[in-house]
Amino acid sequence: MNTSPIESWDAAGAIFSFAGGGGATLFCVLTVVFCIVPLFFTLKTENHHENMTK
Amino acid sequence: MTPAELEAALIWANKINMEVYYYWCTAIMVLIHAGFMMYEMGASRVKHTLAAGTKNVLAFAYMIPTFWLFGWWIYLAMTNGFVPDFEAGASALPWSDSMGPNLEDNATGVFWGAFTLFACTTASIMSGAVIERIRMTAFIILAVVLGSVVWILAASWGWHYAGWMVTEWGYHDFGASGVVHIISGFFALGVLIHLGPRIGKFNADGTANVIRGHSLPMTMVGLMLIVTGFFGFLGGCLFYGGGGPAGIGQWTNIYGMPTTLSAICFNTLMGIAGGMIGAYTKTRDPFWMMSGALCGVISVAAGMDLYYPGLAFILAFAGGVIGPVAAGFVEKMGIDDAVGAVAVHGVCGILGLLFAGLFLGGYPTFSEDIPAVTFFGQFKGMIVMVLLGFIPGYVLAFAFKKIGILRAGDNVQEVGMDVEIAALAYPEEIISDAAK
Repeated sequence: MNTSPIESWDAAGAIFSFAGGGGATLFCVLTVVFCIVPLFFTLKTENHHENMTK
Repeated sequence: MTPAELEAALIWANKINMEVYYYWCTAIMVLIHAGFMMYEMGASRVKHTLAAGTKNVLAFAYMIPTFWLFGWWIYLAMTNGFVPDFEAGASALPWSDSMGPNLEDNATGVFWGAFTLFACTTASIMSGAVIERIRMTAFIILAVVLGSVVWILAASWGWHYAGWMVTEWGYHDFGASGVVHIISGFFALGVLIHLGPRIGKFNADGTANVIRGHSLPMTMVGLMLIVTGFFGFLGGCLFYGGGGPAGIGQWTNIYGMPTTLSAICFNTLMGIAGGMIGAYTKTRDPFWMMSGALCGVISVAAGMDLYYPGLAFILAFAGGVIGPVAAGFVEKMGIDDAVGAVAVHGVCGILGLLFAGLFLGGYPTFSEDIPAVTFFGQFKGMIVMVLLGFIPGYVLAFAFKKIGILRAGDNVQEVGMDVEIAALAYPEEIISDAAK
């Protein structure tokens, strides 16, 4: 996969993968998802232990 | 080398030095988080130890992506109040060219990193107060709101040269007594009101019992790590080399007023010492002696770029005495703050702002258009910080309580919060019955 935003180091600015393209936005969205989804698993674990210790 | 080449070389050297400086400030600030983790684990009973540590580490982990996603944007865009300046915030959007590796931008990454660690500190401050009964999910969400929204909104208003509290009132808060410590302490108070006390903390007649943590030595070492980390924290409150000839060489505070790293060294050390001695004199308690270091440095943080060191020592001593007294008052109000965070950070943060108002009159600000520091300006700033910290914590904790995800059930607390952690803190045979 070619993710490079540059073809030469001369006068290069943003050099991160997907810079200036849609890929960056996609990984922003995925970052949000991968922050939120683990919270649901954590909540599930908590509820499980709440019920188990009753 | 021509004069133009020499100037270009100096500018490059300054840029790289700036990058190096904030990079290592950020690394040193991680010690604050390590310290808070040890502090909280030591202050917990054995059956809650790993839950306390895990909670603290997860706050750190969640703060980093959320501060990248929206925290830094809030800082740059919200200087006017609640109405965002989209143009000012554009470079902080997570998909902008500045928010990743960029050969033309040596500054954004290291500034974002330092501010992210300030955010982690705010979450750690709340984290200690709520040990042994808060549920993990609720805590993480509260930590993200505190660290990636509330504190950085306060910083945008009062810790940014264009923030409205600075331009309207001459608000002066060099070392974040208000924007970090009052905000976190009062956010924690709002949460504690709804969270309720640990089981067994209060008797039926309202008197309080002492619940001892399982390792005071671990707590003391943790506090010493926090003290060490404060050198990164307070060093990171300086602006590197933008105020001298050709924009090179002179340190300034975050408001653009000239200062030196030496000034901060004098008063960080005098603040730590004054607070320790004050708290020890008041309590003879090693826990409070170490917490007194925090009380002291927080009490002088707002004005430490300008105080005479002898004055800083006396103010810090007062903070070290007042901190434990305030913690006793909070307990008398029926609030179970397990580590005294409301007193150490909230109350001493108030002292920090008011002391600056009392003792820093007459200093010119960086622009003739900005009012000078006044007691009334600091007082108004203090009120804003108290409300901005308290209200979100109170409201959010109330909502979580209503939907039943704020507090662990009594049975989980009795068994120990570590029941949710897939590991044991210690092999059972080395733990005495008394420590259990």
